Order: sequence, then C-alpha cells, then structure tokens
Amino acid sequence: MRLLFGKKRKKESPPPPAGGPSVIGAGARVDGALFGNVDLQIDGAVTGEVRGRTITVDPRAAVEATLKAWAVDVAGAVRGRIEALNVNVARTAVIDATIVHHRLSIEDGAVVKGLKPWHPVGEMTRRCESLSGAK
Amino acid sequence: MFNKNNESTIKRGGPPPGQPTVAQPAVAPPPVAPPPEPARGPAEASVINRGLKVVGNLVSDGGIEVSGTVEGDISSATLTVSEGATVKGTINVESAAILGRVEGEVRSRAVRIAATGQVVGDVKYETMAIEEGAEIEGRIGKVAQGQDGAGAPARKAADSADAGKRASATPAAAGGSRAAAKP
Repeated sequence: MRLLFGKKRKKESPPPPAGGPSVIGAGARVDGALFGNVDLQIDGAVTGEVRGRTITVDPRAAVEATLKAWAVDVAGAVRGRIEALNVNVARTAVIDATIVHHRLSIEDGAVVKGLKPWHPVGEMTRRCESLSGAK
Repeated sequence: MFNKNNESTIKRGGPPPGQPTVAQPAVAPPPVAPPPEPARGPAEASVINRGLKVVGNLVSDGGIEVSGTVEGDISSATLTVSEGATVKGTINVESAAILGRVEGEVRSRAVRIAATGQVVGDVKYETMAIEEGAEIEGRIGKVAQGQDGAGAPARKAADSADAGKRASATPAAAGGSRAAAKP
C-alpha cells in the first residue's frame, strides 16, 4: 500500500498533554478563548474559541465557538466551526458548524448541519501540530 | 470498514437505553442547533488544569479549580487557585482558597490565602485566613455581612468586568503596601 500511495504516513498522534484533563462543568460559562495542549471536557457553556489536544462536548453542553484539536468528540450542541483530524459525532449531538476533518464519524440520529470539508491526513496533521505549538 | 474505532455500528439497532422512544411527527422541522443557553444542571466543578489558559470571563454556579492560567474575571460559588496557577482579573466568589497568584481584586465571603499565595490587588472579605508567608499587595477590607462583597456571583459578572479594568491599576495606586500576615 505504501508503494501504491507513495508517501510514508506522517505521525498522526498528538503529543502528550501538557497537564491533566480540564473540565468546564455543567452550570459554568466561559466567554473567550481557551487554549493549551490539554484534554478538555466541556459540560457547560462556551462561547469563543477553544484550542486543545482533544475536546469532548457533553450532551449538556452548549458551545458557540471554533473548536480546534487533534480529536473532537461531540455529543452536545455546537454552533460555529470544528477543525480536527478525527471528529466523532454521537447520536445526541446537534451541530450547526463547518466540520474540517480528515476522519469523520456521525452516529445514527445526530443532527449535523453545515459543510464538512475533508483534508488529507498530512494537511490536517500539520494544522494540529501548529495548534499545539501555538501559545 | 471506515469506522472501526467504536461501537456505534453495534448499537445502531435498538433505541438508546436512556432515551424515551417518542415518535417524532413526520412534519417536524429538522431541529437545527438551538441558540446555546447556559447549561442548567446540578452545580458541578470546573477544572482549569495545568497547561490550559483561559482568556475571558468564567462564570459558574458550582466550584472552580484553577491550576492553569486565567486572564479574565471569575464568578462562582467556590474557587481554588492552586499553587503555580495565575489569575489576572477580578474574583467574585462565595469562598476562595488562594495558593497561587492572583492579580486583581478578590471579593469573597470567606478567603483563605495559603503560605504560597500571592495577591496583587484589594481583598474584600467577611472572614479571612492568611497563612504565614502569604503575600498581599493591596488594601484589605471587611465587607459587612450580606453586603456587596459576596452573594449572587453570576449577577455580578457584568459589573465585575468593569471592576477588573480598574483593579489592574489599583496596586500601583495603593503604593504596594505589603500587609502583615494577620487575619
């Protein structure tokens, strides 16, 4: 296969997190930007921009933001933009967003409105790498 | 074949166990993302861990634990600023434990500043504990019970945003009077 597609696959995995997992609890609200090479769980309301290593959006969450990470898992409401190498959408998700991805899975029952542009793995990996490097 | 990483293909058959299987009317418009509203669940702790930086305001009806960096105002029931953490902004909470660095005004019913804690800004409190070694640059004032300082934190979010801007100028104006560590 490698011969067929020529290029050797680039490293696709995120770097180790800079700290333990962070949580925006249900009942919490953040207006602004969150960033860092960390795993972030959103159970509450977030407006603005989020850049992380992985981002998980809980069914209770209400996100109106740009989410950028290596992997984004959505089970709640997201409006805005999602940019990740791997995007997983659960059945409880309600999304109105552009989803820039390399791999996208949408569970039966999810509501997903918006464009879903695909990029090759190299391009998405590059984007993700610049993301964790950025402060 | 394209989706080998979870069990979604297995679960597809039956209704989800947690959800009632209400038949949707066929004419119902597709539920497009509703305008996100503040989640109204049970009060739950938020954690801003090491490595995460928040630029913007943080409002919670639960607890907040900051081990990373917050540049913005914080309103919540309880707040812990861990050792090594930094908060730049106005803090308006019911109870605060400060083990890290705070630059901005602290308004809290109960304040505890640990030995490793540093506050650059005014502190308004009802009850307070300061450990030996803590550093405070700013005025310390007691707020009469049930008045101003603490109370409905969410309501205060808006006006504390203004206060945050003013508070940043306060330490210099106060001349950096270093308070002795006595409650």
